[in-house]
Amino acid sequence: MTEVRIPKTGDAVEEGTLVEWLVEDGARVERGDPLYLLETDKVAMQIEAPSAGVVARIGVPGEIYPVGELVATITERPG
Amino acid sequence: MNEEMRTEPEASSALLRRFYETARTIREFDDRMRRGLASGEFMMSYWPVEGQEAISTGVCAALEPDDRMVITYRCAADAIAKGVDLGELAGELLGKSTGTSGGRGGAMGISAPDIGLLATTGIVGAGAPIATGVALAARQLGSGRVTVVSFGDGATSIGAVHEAMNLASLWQLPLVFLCHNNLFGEGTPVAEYTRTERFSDRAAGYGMPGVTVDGTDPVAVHKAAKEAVARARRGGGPTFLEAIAFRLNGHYFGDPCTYVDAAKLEAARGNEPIAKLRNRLVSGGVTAADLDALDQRIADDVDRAVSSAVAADMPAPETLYAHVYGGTDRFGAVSEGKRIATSVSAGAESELSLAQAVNQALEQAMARDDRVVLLGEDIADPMGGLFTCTKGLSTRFGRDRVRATPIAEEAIVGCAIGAALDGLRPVAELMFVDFLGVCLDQLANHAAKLRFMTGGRVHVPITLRSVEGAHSGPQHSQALEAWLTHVPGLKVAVASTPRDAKGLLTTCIEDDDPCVFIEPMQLLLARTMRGLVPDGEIRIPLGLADVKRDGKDVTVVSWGAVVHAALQAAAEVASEGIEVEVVDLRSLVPLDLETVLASVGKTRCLVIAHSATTFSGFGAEIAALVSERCFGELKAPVSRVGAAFTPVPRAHSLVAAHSPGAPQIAAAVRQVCR
Ligand SMILES: Cc1ncc(C[n+]2csc(CCOP(=O)(O)OP(=O)(O)O)c2C)c(N)n1
Repeated sequence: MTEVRIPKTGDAVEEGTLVEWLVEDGARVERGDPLYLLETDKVAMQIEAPSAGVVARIGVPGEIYPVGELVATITERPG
Repeated sequence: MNEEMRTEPEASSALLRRFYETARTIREFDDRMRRGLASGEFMMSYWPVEGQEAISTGVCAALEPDDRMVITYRCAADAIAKGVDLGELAGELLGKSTGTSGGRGGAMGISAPDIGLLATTGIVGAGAPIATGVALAARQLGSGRVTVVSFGDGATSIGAVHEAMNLASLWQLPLVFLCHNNLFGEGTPVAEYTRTERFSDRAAGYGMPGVTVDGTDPVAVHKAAKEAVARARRGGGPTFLEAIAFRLNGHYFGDPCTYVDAAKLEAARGNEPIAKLRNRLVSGGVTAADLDALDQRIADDVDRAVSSAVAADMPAPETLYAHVYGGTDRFGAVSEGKRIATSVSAGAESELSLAQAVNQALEQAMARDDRVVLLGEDIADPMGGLFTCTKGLSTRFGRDRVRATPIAEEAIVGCAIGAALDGLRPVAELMFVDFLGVCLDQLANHAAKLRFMTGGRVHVPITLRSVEGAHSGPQHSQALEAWLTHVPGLKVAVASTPRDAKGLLTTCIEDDDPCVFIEPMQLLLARTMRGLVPDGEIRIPLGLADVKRDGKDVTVVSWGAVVHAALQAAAEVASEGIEVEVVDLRSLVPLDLETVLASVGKTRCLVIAHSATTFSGFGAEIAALVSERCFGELKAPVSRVGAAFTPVPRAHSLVAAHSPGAPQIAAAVRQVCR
């Protein structure tokens, strides 16, 4: 299982907003597929899936999370 | 086209494949780092290298395993191409005990001397002066090694690089200046910070060849690098090699890249090095399946290496003090409990000035150890240094070992550092301590920190001699020891007598850590300040204060020229029945707190006298330490005598008001024992 956490996108950045999910809960993704939109004071960026598998969404769109907060997991399933 | 490719098609395809493997490994590693950052798995500073892989690949393929590199924070491409262990690289980036530097350096502190990667810097351009020294060591020791210093295009604007180019060319050092021109200096495109169109054109101004190549083509880079390396190796001096490759990612992970032209980025992505190299291999007959298998093996290797780094421990908190100084795993600034005695070889003594004592220490050190080399402005004969401290030495030992330098303090100190990293024991001269500001980055960020930030894989045995001026106005008379004692990793000694000067300087030169040795100007040549100095060897350990006068009523702690004012004051108040003990610290770091506390324990009164400003002077540290350790025993508050908090003035009338002397010390003594 791969964890997806709010990334640290710069030295002074301590939190980020999960703007929007780009996949359905339970959907299968390949590594590199768009996962969600992140926004911080400095940057808006599209976060990609770090690995292939089935996405379990945890984070809620519009919420501000501290850096390091778990917002999704991706579980590899055979086939 | 590459020579090998023309004459040896077999070898050339093998070479191309080797390029592909290296570049692909860099790409995979860089990807993995950015993936970990994006998923929140890693939190660290990381400077992506995507797009620049072919530069490092081509250059490193032109090097022998033993050749040297000094690189930057944007480290992954150069480090991997030079052959760093991927797990150790990942470990260092993640701050793990298994990192190249045990987790002390991060991306700005990758060091793997076993593969020739000596140092990395997080200070733009600062590697260049250091690399001149590494190259000088190769020359001096006859190792035949070539050094490559890599830096970005932005670094071409900073003075350190220019000082280094001039010095390297002057001395025809075996060095290659490798400019990774990724078209941005952080968030500023090249055209917005210079009118220079090709950075390699700058080389001509320093009398060295310069060449610009396509940094997305490892073959072109390799060809140019081979020529530069061959020139360096045969004694033909340095080359400036500029390789241009668009930076395909942000300056750092998370960089919004608002300053990047989207169309140009798109075009650059279409011209990226690895796809091009792959196409070239395929059109040369390599099958896609073959390359896919190679890609998979590389991906597995990178995965395994990164996983091992992720699983590794962080360094234990109790190891914090390791690698600040050599031979200690604990607080190295105070020498309590580690006292060694002065050693003096038996024999005659002669009356010398402090300058003559310095000269003798240098001469004997050079005679004993070929690795001792001197660097500095005007230090060669006939001048022999502004204060004649190096007189006769270039005549005796030659100008290879007594190197008069351009007026370029960053280059002087950086060159000393680099030479020390690779086997020499340089003694550099900074004409006046006031010029510290010009080279403080080299001293404080590099000399002081390289042992620590490489986890002890390298150390910097340099001595920086400097003169503290007097009566020479605001910019040539300052006492700046507090700038130095604030920096962990440096040792700081100040001599007050010719004997101490010889003994302390000898120890500094033999010490494995960077030492700053300060010579007070008014003591250097004055006849009245001459003193007996052993003709043979004398070594005074750092961290051993000297009681210059015994007394039971008041302790005066001092160092440098002010010791003499303290002794005068002591003589003055003796007639009033006050017996002053004068403690000359001799070295500020390490500090002999034991001797200070023993004296204060006896007198229970303390005056600290120094020529620097009282406010924020080093005396404040001693006052605090003494108050912490023996507040209850003090009969009076600790008193400090130092300079007024103004620049040092020129006019004698103002100097008298600014600088402390015997009368002020005597007054303070009377005050504390009233
Ligand atoms: C002396 C100094 N000034 C500023 C910085 C902040 N800084 C870090 S990297 C960087 C950009 C340097 O650009 P360049 O030399 O082109 O190298 P690149 O980052 O592109 O590899 C800057 C300004 C620094 N580290 N050191």
